[in-house]
Amino acid sequence: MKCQEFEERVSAYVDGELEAQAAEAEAHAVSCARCARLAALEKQMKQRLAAAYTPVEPPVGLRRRVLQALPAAGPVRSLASPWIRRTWIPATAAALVLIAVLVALPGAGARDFDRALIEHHQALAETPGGIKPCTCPLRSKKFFQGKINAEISVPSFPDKKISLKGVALCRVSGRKVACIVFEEGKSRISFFITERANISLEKLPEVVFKQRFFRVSTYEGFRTVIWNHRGQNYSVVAKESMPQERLLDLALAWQAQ
Amino acid sequence: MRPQFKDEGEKRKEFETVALAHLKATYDLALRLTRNPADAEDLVQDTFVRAFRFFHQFEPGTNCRSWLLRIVKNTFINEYRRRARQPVTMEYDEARTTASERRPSGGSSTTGDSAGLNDLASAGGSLDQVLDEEVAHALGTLNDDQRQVLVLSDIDGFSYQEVADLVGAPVGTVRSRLSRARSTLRGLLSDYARKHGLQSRS
Repeated sequence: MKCQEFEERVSAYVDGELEAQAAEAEAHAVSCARCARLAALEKQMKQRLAAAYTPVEPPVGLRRRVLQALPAAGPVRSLASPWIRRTWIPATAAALVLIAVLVALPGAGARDFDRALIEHHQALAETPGGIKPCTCPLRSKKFFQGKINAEISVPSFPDKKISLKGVALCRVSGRKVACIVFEEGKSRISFFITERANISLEKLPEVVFKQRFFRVSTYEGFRTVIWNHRGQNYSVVAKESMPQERLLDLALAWQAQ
Repeated sequence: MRPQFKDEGEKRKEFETVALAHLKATYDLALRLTRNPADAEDLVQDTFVRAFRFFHQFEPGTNCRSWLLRIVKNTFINEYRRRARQPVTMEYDEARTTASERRPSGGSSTTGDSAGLNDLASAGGSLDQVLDEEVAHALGTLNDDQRQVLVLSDIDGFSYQEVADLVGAPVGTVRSRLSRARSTLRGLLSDYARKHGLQSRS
């Protein structure tokens, strides 16, 4: 190997990536002090780069978020339900699954959560062609724009009476929540998914519907069906005029997906 | 293989000490790969959750940072790349210079050569006096694609094949991209080294 060839390959040589020509290059470096020096300088450049490189600071709270996502000591808690993993493919979904752990609401009871969901259901007021941005801090034009957010997959119902109006990631009671809004006739039905952390649903009455357990409640003219599955709360919210059985039907269909 | 942990609590404690220490490097790589802070945070979290699950396989005393970065890499390739908001594409400029490098000889001289460092090598110089800020500045002058492969290789310690997998380009492209990036850096750093050399003599 000549000096010029060595110079052309010095980058791969110091990376140990020369493969077939490695031995030849090695032999040249042994016999040519100048090229050996060149290789040494190239190595030094690599080291200097590593030393001078400043990684980006992770956002405040990422460490805590990671720690909270780790399975707690004791019974293993799964982070994401199979439904989420299967259906919520894109980034938004992963964000959703992982984020809600961020903010825990100390002492938040089922009633508080119920109220927050209902307020949210109300906030997602109807506008022509879609859903209107809610007033939560997370509201983001990119999630709405009166359109269905293509990044979020939604439950599908074979029933033609119910149609999808919009999807959004919002903040409810301080945690990120996926909101999926359907309409049946003129009634709005909202589906919410959120992390269960620190929300106790124990106080809500439990019903058994087609051999599945759900919690139900009514509050200020609204009806909620809630259940949890592997660390997530799933809720269906509609006006109280919607029969409980209908909500349970939808909840069951959703659960089956 | 390490001995089993006494319980989950012990595993967790050890994990926090050994693995979480590399949160910054992990986030930095995740951000460079996803080019999006929200996705980067998700990727970091997925990485650590996975790392925790396989933590019993981690050999104590070996390089935990490199172990974690490989998990970031695999998670990114398997689960994130498809949804990356900015797909990695080869830019026109690069397509052009790569083509020019395929010419038999002399073709690469337009993109710089090792003359700078060469002279320095001949003169028995060193980069010792170049300041970290200058090195960082030189890195900043590279184009995005060159900087990306260089950092993946030199900072994260990935092999050419791994870098190729990450950026979705052939190994040959990675090789020439890196070579070009280093060529540019050599020139800049040699200039700095010479400048400092002159200053120290005066």
